[in-house]
Amino acid sequence: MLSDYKNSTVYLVDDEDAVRDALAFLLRSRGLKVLEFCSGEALLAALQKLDSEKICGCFLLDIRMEPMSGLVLFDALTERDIHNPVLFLTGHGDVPMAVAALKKGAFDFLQKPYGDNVLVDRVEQALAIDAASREQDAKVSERAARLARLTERERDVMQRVAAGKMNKIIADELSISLRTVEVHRASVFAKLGVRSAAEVATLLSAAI
Amino acid sequence: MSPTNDSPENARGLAALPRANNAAWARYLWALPMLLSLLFVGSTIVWLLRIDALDREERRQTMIADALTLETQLRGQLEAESAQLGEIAKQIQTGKLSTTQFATSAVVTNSFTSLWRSVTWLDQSNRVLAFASIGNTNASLSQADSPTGQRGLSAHLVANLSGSAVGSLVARYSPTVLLKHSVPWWLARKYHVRLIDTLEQEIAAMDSSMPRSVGGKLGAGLGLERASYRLSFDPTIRDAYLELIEHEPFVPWTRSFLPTFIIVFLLLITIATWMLRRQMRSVLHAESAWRTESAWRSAMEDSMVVGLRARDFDGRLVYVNRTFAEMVGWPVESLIGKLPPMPYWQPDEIEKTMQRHRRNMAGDAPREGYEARWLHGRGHSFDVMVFETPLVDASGKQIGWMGSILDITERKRMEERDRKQADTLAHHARLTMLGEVASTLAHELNQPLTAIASYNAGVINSLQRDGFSDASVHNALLRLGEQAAQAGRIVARIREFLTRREPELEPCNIHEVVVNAIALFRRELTRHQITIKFNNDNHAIQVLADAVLIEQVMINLLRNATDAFSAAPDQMRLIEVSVHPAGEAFLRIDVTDNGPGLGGRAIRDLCAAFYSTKTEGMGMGLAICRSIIEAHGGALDAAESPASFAPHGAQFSLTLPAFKPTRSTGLQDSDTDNIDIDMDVDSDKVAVTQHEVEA
Repeated sequence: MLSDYKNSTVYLVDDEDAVRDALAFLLRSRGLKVLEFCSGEALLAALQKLDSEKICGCFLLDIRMEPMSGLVLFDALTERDIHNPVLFLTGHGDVPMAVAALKKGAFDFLQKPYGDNVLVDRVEQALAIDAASREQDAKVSERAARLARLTERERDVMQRVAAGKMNKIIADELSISLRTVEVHRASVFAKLGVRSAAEVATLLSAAI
Repeated sequence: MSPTNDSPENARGLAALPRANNAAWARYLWALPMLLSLLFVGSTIVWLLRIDALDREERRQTMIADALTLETQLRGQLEAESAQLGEIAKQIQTGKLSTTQFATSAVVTNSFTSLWRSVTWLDQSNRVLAFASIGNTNASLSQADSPTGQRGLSAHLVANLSGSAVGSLVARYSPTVLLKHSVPWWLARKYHVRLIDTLEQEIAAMDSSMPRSVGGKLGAGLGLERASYRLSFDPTIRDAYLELIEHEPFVPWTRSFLPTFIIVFLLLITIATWMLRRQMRSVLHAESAWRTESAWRSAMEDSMVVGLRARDFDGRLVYVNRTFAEMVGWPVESLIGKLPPMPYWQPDEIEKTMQRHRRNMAGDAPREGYEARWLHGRGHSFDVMVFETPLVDASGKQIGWMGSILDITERKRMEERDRKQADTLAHHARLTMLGEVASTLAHELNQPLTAIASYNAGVINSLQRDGFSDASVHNALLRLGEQAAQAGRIVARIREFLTRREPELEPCNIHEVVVNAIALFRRELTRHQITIKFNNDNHAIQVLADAVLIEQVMINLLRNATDAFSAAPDQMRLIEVSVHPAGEAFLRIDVTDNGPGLGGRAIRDLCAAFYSTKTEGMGMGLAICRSIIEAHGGALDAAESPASFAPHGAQFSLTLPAFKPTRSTGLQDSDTDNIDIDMDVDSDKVAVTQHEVEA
């Protein structure tokens, strides 16, 4: 299930003008949004203005650049708490560096000169994963927001409901009346937008 | 080792011992003639003393016998005279002779024929009745004394008269005449005979000369006592002694020329001994000097690493030293006297060696020596360098050839090893360079190829999106893409084929690596008069690296520094290599020189492919260095040298991952292990792995 990534951007960094231009052309020909940078410094400068939350898309970095290499740039991004997928472009001789990058958590490395649609496919996969994680993040935060609206008492009741306990038992455990438990339960269901105890359990496990 | 080891030493050792003992008493050998001479002289003296004593005794015996004989003779004479006097007395008593007839009577005058001087007839009261004397029977008493002029005392013979004529008859005689008549000539010649009284007064002597002067001049001069013997002449002559004194005094040997002779003899012997001693000393001295020198010489010969062999003109071995014997593995004794072919010649090269031998014997051996391959007694071959020089005897005549032999097996082996090492190094350098060329070319070609492929794919995408459906164009574009990909594959294949060998990383001692590199490059440094310093505090420090490649990098950096000096004016040329830790996980090696410096160029320019400041340079050296260092996970950097290297200079620094032995179970576990993966890994395969991780 690939999420929609049409709004995502490919951040393309390569100090070789021809290659950068050609790759941008290729990516755009598949309808992707591309931002080109001629060096790592240029990229970092551009990103500075953006909130890391708002960076949507993936990075496509040439590994051999001067003075800031792709690997150093990758570290700089990680330092800035930017965890979008990173793809590396490598020459044949740069394989060890690419492997090092993979170990550090890069998404993939793509060897020159295979600048064809396989590359675009991998970029799209990266974008999809980014979009998916972004979506997931959004859901989680939404659930967290909903849970945050519950009162202390409602939370206690909700946990017991999710554990599949009867209202009566919950009332006993919390030393409150059965009626009160029912009111809380209805309130929890309303705030979380669920209709059954099972849904509460699912939401709870996903949110944590 | 060789069986020749012990024998020469033992032989010398055995010979040395008795010789040393000899020397102890030989040092006093010179005194032996002296000693014998003294013994001889001593016994001669004893013998002489004994002879003397015997001689003296014998002479004394003879003298005593002579004295006794003479006494008897004298007594007999006197008794005869007494008998004569008795005859006269008898005639007087019988009255045949009267006082008047007395002086003329025959019996009286006849008596004067002997020794009588006078005869006096005395009466009882000692009055002279008649007197008769020699020559003059009527001579008065006063004239009685020696008509012959003879002096001296006279003695008397008395015959008492009894009967009719009482009185006495006294005959006076001269004892001197008595002696003269009675002493035989041989006795008179031997002795001075005299009669003396108790007061040592001489009564009569054999001759008038002074007895003392009679002695030999020699005896007189030496004041020698002459032997004498006296015996009492009582009662014939009362209170008289007969004394015999030898004419020749006894001369003991000590007073003769013998002592002088002995003294002179001893003196000469002493001188001779002293000379002998001096001679012997100098001989001993020379001998000990010779022995020392000989010992030194054999010690030197044996301690030499050079084998020595002497050969006569026939090629016969006349001398070999121990080193030579050990070298060829044959005992000295079995080598001496050997004629070619020698046992140490290669059996399959006898003919060739024989030719060389003849050349050497003809004196045509090369002065600078020649190399040969010999066979050790145990069967292995070894290389030698032989130098032949003329062998001359003491008179300077050449009697053969002396060869000095050096074992150069080890040297040749080392030369061979060095050559191989240099070959390997050059081979590596060539391969690395070719690989780097290919790699650079591939990189440079990959860029446009990537662009072509990308543009092409982009065009295809764009055309499809826009609904352009000309199949021929589409196919052409697809083929264009395929061709671009094919070009890329060709480049990759060439690159793979020519690529330098990938580093084989293992823990290695960086100190040794640097020392090796410096040693390999030492000749160049010396040739360019460059001083090199290597500073490293931690000799045991280890890095994870390919020692051969790092060595190559170090040599490259040293060569760059050396080449840089050629542009610099004459100055103190210095290269300093130092090793420092760089952080936790890395190690930095600096190569600093005081050459002309970088001239403001950065490492990026310096490492650019085909960039070179050298006219013959390929411009690949530093690029190769950098890719090697980067393949190790390190970095190469260049800067101007620090101020201590005034006035300028360059400093190249490289970093390498340090090796931590505590985590040596697997290289993958190391902090710096990112480069140990097989470089030929297919990118797709890696990508797939990554997918699985992600999925």
